[in-house]
Amino acid sequence: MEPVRIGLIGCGGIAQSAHLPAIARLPGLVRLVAAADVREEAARAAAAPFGADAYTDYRQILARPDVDMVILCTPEFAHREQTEAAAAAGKHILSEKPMAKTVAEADAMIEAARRAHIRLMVGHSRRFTGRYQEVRRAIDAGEIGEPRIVRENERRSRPPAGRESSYWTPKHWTGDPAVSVGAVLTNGIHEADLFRWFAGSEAVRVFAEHKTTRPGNLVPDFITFTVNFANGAVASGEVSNCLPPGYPSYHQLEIFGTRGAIRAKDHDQQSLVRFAEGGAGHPDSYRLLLHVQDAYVSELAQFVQSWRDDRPVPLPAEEAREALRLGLAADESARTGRPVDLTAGGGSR
Amino acid sequence: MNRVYSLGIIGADARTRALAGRLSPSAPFHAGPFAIRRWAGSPAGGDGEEAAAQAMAASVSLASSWRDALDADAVFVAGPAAGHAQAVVAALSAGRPVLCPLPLGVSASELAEVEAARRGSGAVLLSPSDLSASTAGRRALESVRAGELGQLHAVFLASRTGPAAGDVLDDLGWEALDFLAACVAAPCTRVYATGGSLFGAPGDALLANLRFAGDTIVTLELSRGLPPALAAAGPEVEIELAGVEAALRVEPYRRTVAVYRGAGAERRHWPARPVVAMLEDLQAAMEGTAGPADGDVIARQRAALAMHTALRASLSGRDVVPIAV
Repeated sequence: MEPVRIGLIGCGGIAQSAHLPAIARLPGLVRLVAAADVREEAARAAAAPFGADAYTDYRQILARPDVDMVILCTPEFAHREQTEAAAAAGKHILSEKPMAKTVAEADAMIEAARRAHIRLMVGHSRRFTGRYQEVRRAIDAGEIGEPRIVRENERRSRPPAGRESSYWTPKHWTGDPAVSVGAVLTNGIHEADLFRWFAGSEAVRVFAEHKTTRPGNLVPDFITFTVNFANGAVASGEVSNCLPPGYPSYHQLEIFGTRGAIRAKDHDQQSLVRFAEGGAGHPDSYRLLLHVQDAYVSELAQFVQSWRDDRPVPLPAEEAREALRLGLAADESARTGRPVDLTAGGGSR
Repeated sequence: MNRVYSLGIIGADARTRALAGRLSPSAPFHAGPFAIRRWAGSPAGGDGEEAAAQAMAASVSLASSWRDALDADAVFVAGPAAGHAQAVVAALSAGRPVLCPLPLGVSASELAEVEAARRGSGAVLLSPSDLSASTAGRRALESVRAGELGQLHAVFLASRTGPAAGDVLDDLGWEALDFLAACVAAPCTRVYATGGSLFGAPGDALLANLRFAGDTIVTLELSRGLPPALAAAGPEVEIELAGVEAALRVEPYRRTVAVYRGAGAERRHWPARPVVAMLEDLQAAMEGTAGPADGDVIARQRAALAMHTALRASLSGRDVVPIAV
């Protein structure tokens, strides 16, 4: 069977660190034929190793009949337009998370895919990591009884002096309040998705507090939120990007059930600690534990294989829509200082 | 030869149980010169049988009235929180140094009575918690007070035990809230709490978000959801303090040695003994060799009480509760 021909739309950080390496690791299954980015040099750099064509307008990719699917590695504010255009062109779509800026946009994306009979999946990559799949397997097997408290803290540090990044600043889209609501979607969408997955239920209420930690920045880079689920479980997540330089980025997942508990904390299991000028860190074990690279390979492979086998996509777009709704409800709560009731339409702005 | 101070104990709980054998008149406590002279149940009642059993283990007879326990060089107040203020006020009024692991009172009026009694007597009053008296807890508070972390962006605090009866806000909350009040210099301005009966017992879990003036945000978890494999090592407290300058991670009760042998891993624990540190502080304060280690304890407990009251209201009202500053 011929490899599926991929057009990559958006050639920034997540494309370079995750999607392009995943494509390279699946040579019999997929092939990159085109890459597009508004920055021509970024498109060329992505395309060249694969002998693919580079464009500055994604529509040029959609016009090619030899592109079977596209991967959207663009920010969420671009996803609706690009999804509708790709669906109209008959291309299957694997989109980066978060799905969109609003639930209405997410609904429009789902409807566009339905009308065009194409496959749409949002890549919540954590669901494809070995660690989290093992957690879900243990829950499904009843090893801890019913999950009652699900907690995940996700911590990242500020870059050290002299290595400042534009990330979170008004110079970068992540820090532009016109297009970004901040940490709750940029990082916290992972927790919103995982909470639903592990709790095995729909969120009914959320409360959140957030803040902008760095002077001059305009969008919150810290959020903590507490979620009640219909089945009585409660989730708590703290997502921060404000730890001092040198603090190791890590995730702490803990699930307490009626008959047991699961712990999956980076710092408890780190296999390699590096001591460097900026402090101590465990970047290799971080990758090892979350299997970041493997997750994107698995995500892409499962998406393509489900299509070839004529099975449903492994992660329906409706799941990503609900994670988005929970994230937006948390943002609404943090901005208003009040809990938000999702059964009354909260988060659906 | 060092002096041995007589100690009157009012009330009985898990903490005094640990002392019973060590502070009996025939077995002087190895880490401090105290010996129990009198032991009585709490003025609030409810701990009489436990007090009698512990007194017997300490080889002292149970006093018929809690006031009899004031006849000692110093007084240790324990047992139900509802009896603390009455016993502390009486002991201070009698001029006795007092060690009362928190809370000193469960209402603003009780705290006011304790404050007035302390001011009137000038006697030593210490009200630590297991957390603030633990080695790691002390180090964390010293670090915060010395400004080593800079302004605090966020605090995460989880306090957990295995399944047990008792409301977590009352049983685990005072210690946690007192620690927060000690860490965050500004007052708490609003709280949100959820939880209830998650593991089968009433009030066995609470998850909360708190906001302080100055913009420190706290994530708090109190629960009785530890499964036996984890609960066997005792309660656990986990704290992360994220400051502008530095971050600090504190796990005061998980003093663990992990042993990896063959294909398996074994974790060995040994218990924290913060009550030893509490008695050392009491001795130092009585002898004037050190001031109270825990700062303005009544102001801090007043702040903890405000948070406690607001969290309770938030739990029942399912809404955010502001705290007037």
